[in-house]
Amino acid sequence: MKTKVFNYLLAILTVAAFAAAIVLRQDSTFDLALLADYKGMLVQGFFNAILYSVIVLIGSLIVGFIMYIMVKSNWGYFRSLADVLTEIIYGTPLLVLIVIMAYVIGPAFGTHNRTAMGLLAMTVYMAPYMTNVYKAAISSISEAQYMAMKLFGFTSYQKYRYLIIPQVVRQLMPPMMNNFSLIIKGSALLSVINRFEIFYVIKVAQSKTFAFLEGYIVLWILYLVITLPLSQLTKYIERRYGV
Amino acid sequence: MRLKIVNLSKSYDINVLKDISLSIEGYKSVAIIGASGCGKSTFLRLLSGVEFPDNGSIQVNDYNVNIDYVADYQKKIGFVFQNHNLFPHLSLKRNISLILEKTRNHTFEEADEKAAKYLTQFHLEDQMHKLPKNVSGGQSQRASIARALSIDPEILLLDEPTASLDPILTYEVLEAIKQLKNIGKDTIFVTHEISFVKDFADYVIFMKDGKIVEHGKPEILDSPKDVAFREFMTKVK
Ligand SMILES: Nc1ncnc2c1ncn2[C@@H]1O[C@H](COP(=O)(O)OP(=O)(O)OP(=O)(O)O)[C@@H](O)[C@H]1O
Ligand SMILES: [Mg+2]
Repeated sequence: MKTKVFNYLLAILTVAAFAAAIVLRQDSTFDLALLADYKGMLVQGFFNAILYSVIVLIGSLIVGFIMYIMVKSNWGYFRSLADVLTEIIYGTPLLVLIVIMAYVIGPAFGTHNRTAMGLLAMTVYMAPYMTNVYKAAISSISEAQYMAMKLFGFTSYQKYRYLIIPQVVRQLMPPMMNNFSLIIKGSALLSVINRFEIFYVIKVAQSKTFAFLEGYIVLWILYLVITLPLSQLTKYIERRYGV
Repeated sequence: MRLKIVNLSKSYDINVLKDISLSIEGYKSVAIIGASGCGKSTFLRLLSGVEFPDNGSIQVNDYNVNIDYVADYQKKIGFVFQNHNLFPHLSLKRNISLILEKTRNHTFEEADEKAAKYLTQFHLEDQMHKLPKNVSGGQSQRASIARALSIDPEILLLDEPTASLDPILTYEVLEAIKQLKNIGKDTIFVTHEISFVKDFADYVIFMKDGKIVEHGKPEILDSPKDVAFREFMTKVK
């Protein structure tokens, strides 16, 4: 345990030293104060990034589950439909999907709420990945386990409550959290359609202050502030509840 | 035990059990042996009532094993699976106490106490708070036997309880099963351990290609009549 902590400290120091060396080798000086005027907007953008990501996470969990039911359906039509949608989504860059959704598909249904359509695009984009998460989690319960449940005489409710759902949730957690991380990073692309997205705020600030590199550095740090704790949490959950 | 099987058959995509009939009475531990794929596990599953035959009938002691009565019957049987098959998210103890609490009307405390008692009986007192993945194969399999016994079954079915274990763990589990003899439960078990069959069984059934080709007291192991049985015995020795 002690050596592990030590190794981690050493690794972090290495990275920090590397970062310091890079900073010292810069010709231009960084002035993060240039961005001070935009602090309020940045904070708002930061929280928006989290909010949007949570919405997409929940949405894609729901849509992904619907697609899972389609994949497992007895009706070939639903299986084929899920397959076709998945292939299209896999073949589409997220940025393209967001733009098409906001400017083509949305208006076709009479909506010009680009933010909503952008979030929908991300939701749809992530759904097949969530479907895979469900597939893996649910198939981890073996035939033999179902047989045991039946033999010991659990009722349907008890099976789900004490045996199936707890196992599925445990299996679901780590890959779901990884997807959440992908969503957070992907949310930067919403800046093409949304003015309150953090990446958009940075772009505006950059163009006004010419603090081009500073903008990216701040953005980078803000994303790390979200994703690093998240991945630690994921690891913790995996250790604590992993099967 | 009393076992009465009439014209039993079962198919999946292939014919697995082919018109099996058997009627025996008065034995306590019945061994089912035979080459891999001959239908032993399928036979045991039908005996347990988790699956039903396409044709034929099964009677075990006073129970007709069919859809109408299976729930009552299953309260009376303990089943040990080919791979321990404990619920992976529950500790060894909770694997047992959950069943007692939810399906046998025990209070939480009673269930907990009883689970600990059975695990201790199989020398797992130090392991009972661990998850199945954190104990050895032999320990899981012993816990699985403890679990099957904890519901106080009238009949115990064991499907190759040592299948995935090395020789030392196999010995460990077989010793645990021998304790069962003293408890006096009716046992039907599938195994590849012929020496264990000789030690423990008082009746032997040899299966081949979905049929029972020879059955009788353990002495039949020493002088098999059927050609396939003789061949099987030379291979497993
Ligand atoms: N649920 C199932 N669906 C389709 N085929 C099955 C199923 N269960 C068993 N079979 C087939 O039935 C045959 C007998 O299987 P079974 O598991 O009963 O054999 P076994 O004697 O227990 O073998 P082993 O010693 O390897 O455990 C095999 O050919 C197997 O592929
Ligand atoms: Mg088998």
